[in-house]
Amino acid sequence: MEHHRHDVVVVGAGIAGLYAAMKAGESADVGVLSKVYPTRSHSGAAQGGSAAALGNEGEDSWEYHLYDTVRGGDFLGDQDAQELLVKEAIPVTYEMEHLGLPFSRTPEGKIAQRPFGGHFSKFGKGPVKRSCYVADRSGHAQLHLLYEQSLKQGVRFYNEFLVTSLIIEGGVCRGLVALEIRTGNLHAFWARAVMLATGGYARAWRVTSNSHANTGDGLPLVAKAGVPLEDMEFVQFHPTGLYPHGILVSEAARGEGGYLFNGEGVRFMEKYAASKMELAPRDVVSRAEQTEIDEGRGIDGGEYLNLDLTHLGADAILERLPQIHELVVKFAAVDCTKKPIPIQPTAHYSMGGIPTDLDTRVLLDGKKQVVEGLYASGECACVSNHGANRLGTNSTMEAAVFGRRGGIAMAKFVRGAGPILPGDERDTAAAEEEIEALRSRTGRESAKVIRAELQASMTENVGIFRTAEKLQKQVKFMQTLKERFKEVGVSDGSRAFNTELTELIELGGMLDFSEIISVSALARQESRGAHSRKDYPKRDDVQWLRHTLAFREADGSIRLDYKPVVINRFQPEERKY
Amino acid sequence: MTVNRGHGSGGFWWWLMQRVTGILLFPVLLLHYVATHLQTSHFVEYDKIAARVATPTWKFLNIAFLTIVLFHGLYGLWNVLLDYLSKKPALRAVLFSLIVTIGLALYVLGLVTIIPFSA
Amino acid sequence: MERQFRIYRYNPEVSPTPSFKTYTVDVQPAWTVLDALNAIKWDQDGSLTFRRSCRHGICGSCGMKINGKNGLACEIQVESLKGVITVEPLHGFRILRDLVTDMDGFFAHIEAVKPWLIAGTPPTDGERLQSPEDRKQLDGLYECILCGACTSACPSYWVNDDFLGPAALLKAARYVMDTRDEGFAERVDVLDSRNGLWRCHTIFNCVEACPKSLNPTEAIVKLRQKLTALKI
Repeated sequence: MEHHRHDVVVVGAGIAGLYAAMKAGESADVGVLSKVYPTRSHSGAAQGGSAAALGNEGEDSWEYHLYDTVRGGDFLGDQDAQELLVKEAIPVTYEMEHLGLPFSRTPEGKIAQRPFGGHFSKFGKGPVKRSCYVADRSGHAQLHLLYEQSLKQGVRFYNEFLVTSLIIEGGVCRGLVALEIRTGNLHAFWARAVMLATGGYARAWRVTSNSHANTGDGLPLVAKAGVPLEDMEFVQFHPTGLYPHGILVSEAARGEGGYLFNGEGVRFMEKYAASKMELAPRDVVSRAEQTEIDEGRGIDGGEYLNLDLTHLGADAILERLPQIHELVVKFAAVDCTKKPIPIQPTAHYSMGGIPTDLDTRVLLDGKKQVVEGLYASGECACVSNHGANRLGTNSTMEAAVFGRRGGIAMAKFVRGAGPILPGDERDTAAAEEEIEALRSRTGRESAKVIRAELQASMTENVGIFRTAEKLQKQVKFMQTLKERFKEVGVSDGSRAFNTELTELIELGGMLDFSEIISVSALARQESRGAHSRKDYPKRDDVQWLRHTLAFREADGSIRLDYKPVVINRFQPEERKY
Repeated sequence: MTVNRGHGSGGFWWWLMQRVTGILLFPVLLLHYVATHLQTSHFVEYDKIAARVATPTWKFLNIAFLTIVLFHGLYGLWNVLLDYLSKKPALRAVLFSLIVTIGLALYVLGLVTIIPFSA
Repeated sequence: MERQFRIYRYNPEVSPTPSFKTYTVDVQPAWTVLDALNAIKWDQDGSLTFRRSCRHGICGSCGMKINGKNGLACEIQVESLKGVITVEPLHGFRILRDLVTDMDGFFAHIEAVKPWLIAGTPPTDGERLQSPEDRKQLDGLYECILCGACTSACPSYWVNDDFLGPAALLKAARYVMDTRDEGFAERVDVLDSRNGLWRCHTIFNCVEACPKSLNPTEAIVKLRQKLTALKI
């Protein structure tokens, strides 16, 4: 086995991972592992922009942004983390501009800003333009920028490496083992600090905006080490997935003034959020859409609705939403300057994840105790910026702000910490055995069938609307799927580029966290943000104003614990848009 | 594949000269064509042509034509060869010397033909 | 509808010689070539190897040659293709396995052009200003997804993989044309090197190959103009 040493090893090369690598790279020796080539990460699919209260296009302040974020998250977010997010969003936006991000501009030459769902001025009262954007390719531009800046800092990239296990001993993370996809060989990486920035996991649903790579690989790794996963039941469904693929049609389309229509030609949002209409937060709009579809008011009674941009005019669409226009032509054969876009809710974002403190250090007990040398940021982490529902444009901003914080924290930590402690074959034997066992499997089950059944059942039972009955069914079904997974064989006997093997590793992880999601969702007997229980339609602040912590026990069972929400500024109130 | 660490002036002036000679080639070639093929008399007579090429203007024009054509043609050839020679520095040096030698030889041959003409 | 896919297969662990294998796929409405490749991998032949990720043309993973033309498998509708569909890896790169090529050299060329803003100290209290007109100069340059379709289509690159290639030169233009950038002189050594700008023979294959409708040749011409202005 080949061994490598770096002060800092970052797993994942999206916005969070690269921001961390770039920052840590200013003073430390950094290696980045990614299972895809750089710039292939899913951050690049983010379209609409990143929220920061610059006030370039009308009055704004970070207090307003904070209020929106707290309320948008249905009061489950930790307000200390949220305050950091909205305050640091401003200097981080300027930093990205200084690094060269090609922001769209106002006539005076400032960073242009646009409206987005759930963002308002004056504590929910007026409209606001808060999303700083690069046309509708904001994530793409950020991802490339941060990759290029990491190169400038001399960060070493290990492309197409899939991490298979973390080496954590006595509460200290010493490194990890990763599969080099190109050769099929395992490599050991020894480091003082390891950051997981492995992204989201909406691939566990049938209709999703996520890439094939979004299989949440970091989560099972930490769960195995005894770290709990926080608030996993909160999964966001984006209101405008292109029908039938589920590909993202940016919320910027509604931010720029797009309307939603049902099969009867009615702007149905007036029934659900009369004052904010299409710009209500995503959970509200997605529930409205699902209700319309369930009650037979989809287009032609089908499973989709219309997003109409035609009244914006072709010039505005081509200037501000060029990618949307291109996507819709290519994938739905619709020219959105002339006809409405068929859309449906699509699994999009995970609010929960690996619990961390404000410096992105992973919390072993989910509360106070840290795993020394282990960090997490971006969508895989849960510092709880988004609570029960994320606002659009807060995710890329969280990835930037907390990736940056993590990078700075790691650089500081490695300066004070002792030398890297490389291990030997004894430390990596278990990881090696595990992969060799997977590689030589000969069972008759099909990974594709299991994956398809997982996705279909998660959509059916752990979708927008949930009930105890459905969730129980899913928890039970997860056992069946996990048993059947043991019988999946690998037909490809080659070592190099064995993507059948890597897909199998990913599927194993998806089964693992999907069970945790289902168990966490079943336990939470209330409706809050994106977690909507038909049998408990109301938010219950007495019982459930707390974070879920789901531990994977040594015997494979799941134990739930809870921790209080940090509320230091805005007390919970009724959420109405 | 070798990583490009840059070593400057790898062709700007050559490229620029290629453009300049390319542009100049057009009027010179046109003039040459008109003078040699569209002249009023249908009979090519040595004395007549010798008298013309012996004038200072025509000497200048012919030397210019020679210079431009040789540079443009041979650099064009070299530019094509360069595509294939990135990893063969020795061969590149040999071929470059060869092309320069051929070019100079042809140039001298041209000059000794043009210059001595007298009426 | 049943469609046939003739796919380039190469696995050096099994055989040193590449071959083509034909698969019949029951293609569903609105399927892309990537959907069909996934169906083959999952239902017929688990050893078929290709890269894929975002499935909507933004990540650049699935650049390949489809019916002789470079493109992204994820955004080409099967319906738009006629007859037996031939799928091959991108030309000009070393083939690792099946449709997977070695992109390390491609990325090294990107790095070589110093793809980062080179500029003086920014203001401390906000953004640098840039007019919408100046910003517009970057349209057609910053959208590149690094899929490699252009460089793979470039005959100059086929014979000389030391040539920076259209993608890296487009990336250079993305920074050089940025009114905030002051680093052109620093990039000249690379751009004006033997394997820089001058290896482009304006064949325009890159323009035809780009799935994002970008124009690397135009970017190269702009860089040459900029260099001329600097030198003269």
